[in-house]
Amino acid sequence: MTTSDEDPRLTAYALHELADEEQEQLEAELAGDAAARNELREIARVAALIERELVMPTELGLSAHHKSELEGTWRERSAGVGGAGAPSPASGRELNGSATDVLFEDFASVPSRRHGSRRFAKSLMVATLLYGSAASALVMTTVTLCKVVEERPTQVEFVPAPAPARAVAPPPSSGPSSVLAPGPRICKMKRTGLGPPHEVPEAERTQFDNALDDEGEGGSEVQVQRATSRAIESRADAAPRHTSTELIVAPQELGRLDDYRVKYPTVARRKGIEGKVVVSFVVLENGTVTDVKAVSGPPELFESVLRAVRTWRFTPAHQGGKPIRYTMTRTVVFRLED
Amino acid sequence: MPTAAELEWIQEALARYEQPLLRFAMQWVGRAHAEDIVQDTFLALCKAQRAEIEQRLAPWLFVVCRNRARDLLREHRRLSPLDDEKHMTNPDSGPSHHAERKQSIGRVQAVIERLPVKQREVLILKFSAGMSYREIAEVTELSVDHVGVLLHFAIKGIRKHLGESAVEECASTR
Repeated sequence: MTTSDEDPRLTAYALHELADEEQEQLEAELAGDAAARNELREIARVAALIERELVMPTELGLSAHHKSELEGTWRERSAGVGGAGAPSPASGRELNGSATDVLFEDFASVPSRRHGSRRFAKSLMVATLLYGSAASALVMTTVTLCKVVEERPTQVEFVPAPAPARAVAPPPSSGPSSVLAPGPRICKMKRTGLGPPHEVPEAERTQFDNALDDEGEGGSEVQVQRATSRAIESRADAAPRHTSTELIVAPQELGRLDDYRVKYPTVARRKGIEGKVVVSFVVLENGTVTDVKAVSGPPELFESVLRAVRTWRFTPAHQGGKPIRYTMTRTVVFRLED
Repeated sequence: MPTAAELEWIQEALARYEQPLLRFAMQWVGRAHAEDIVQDTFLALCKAQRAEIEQRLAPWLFVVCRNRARDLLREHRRLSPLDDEKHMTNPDSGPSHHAERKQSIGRVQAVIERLPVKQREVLILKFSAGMSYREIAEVTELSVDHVGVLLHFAIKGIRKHLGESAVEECASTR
């Protein structure tokens, strides 16, 4: 059967909007139609491009005047009601490693506790960053995220940073790293949400959640893990170790959710290739990434990871107040779901 | 009258939807008017019953915003969708960083601006506001199928304008 390139189902498929039956039907048609598969790939690529452009951080926002008027009105209205007072909108982005964990937990619990909408929370995360909220910026410094942009991805996982963002540089002959960081905590989230999905009681599930489930079951997941200890150990080109008794502040992710996405390669997905790709790279003094190498994992998945990692941006590592080069590793986990 | 918890909710909504709403409103009016409209939208949110709209916050906000924009247009008898500003091209961003990315962004956004009004509207709702087809249909008062068709042709149009090579280039500069 031939699927026309005029078929809007292709776009709906790329945007995860098809219902299960429709999707199965389309997939059956696509199996015998290379042209349509190619068309689908193109649509997904352009869609990813548009998404990136339309959610990129811009200066677009309400003027200070408009905002202060709004806030004035809200304050007036809420005066005497809450007692605790309105949370004042944060201004500027301040990075403060020590508070990240707590804030992260607060944030992760937002969807189930207050909104029951994981998608909202994800979006909130993106947008509050754009808005410049310090709290959200903090959250982002602890979180590495990736988002699958092709096929029908459903799950995104992210791994918050180990509690302290600092690590002590190992003394000259101390052998393996003496990093103080605990192992990464892993939070799963469904596609665009936040927080472990299984923690949401059924009763609290909302239409949003159900809609999400309808849209995107049966996809794949990609997960990025930190390996900070190895990163410290393999720190390259930094100040000579015998002089470094000062704390090294590790690089932190900088940017929005979508800046850390990794694509699940279509071919690998179709072939059912799963696995972990360990990737090493150097974060330069200006926060850009260079020298990206896949260390291990299924070769079919390398290209996608390398391509993604090259676009990542970090706050540079610091030692003694000076930015330094810093070699890091990350593990990207590709996992298909039935 | 909002409680402190509601206020927090409203501020979260502002943080989430401020930019998409502005982008949405700026299809029809200039930046200054768009800001007024979005401000109005959040004042309306402040007065609304949270329980009634919480589950459909995004569509609600965009419907309000759309209605305000229409009112304003009617008021000013300005029916041409794009007026005084080159708003979609992100005039505030300086050339200082991400130069190559900005270049591709300028191109994509220029192409988006050239799309037919309805296609552009659904495109912004889909990609900037992250809405589902169903939610977009609610805002635009179109059928879900129609939304799907509009998006399909919007993406097709953008692809055609950009050309295959440009897409490649954009993808590789990311």
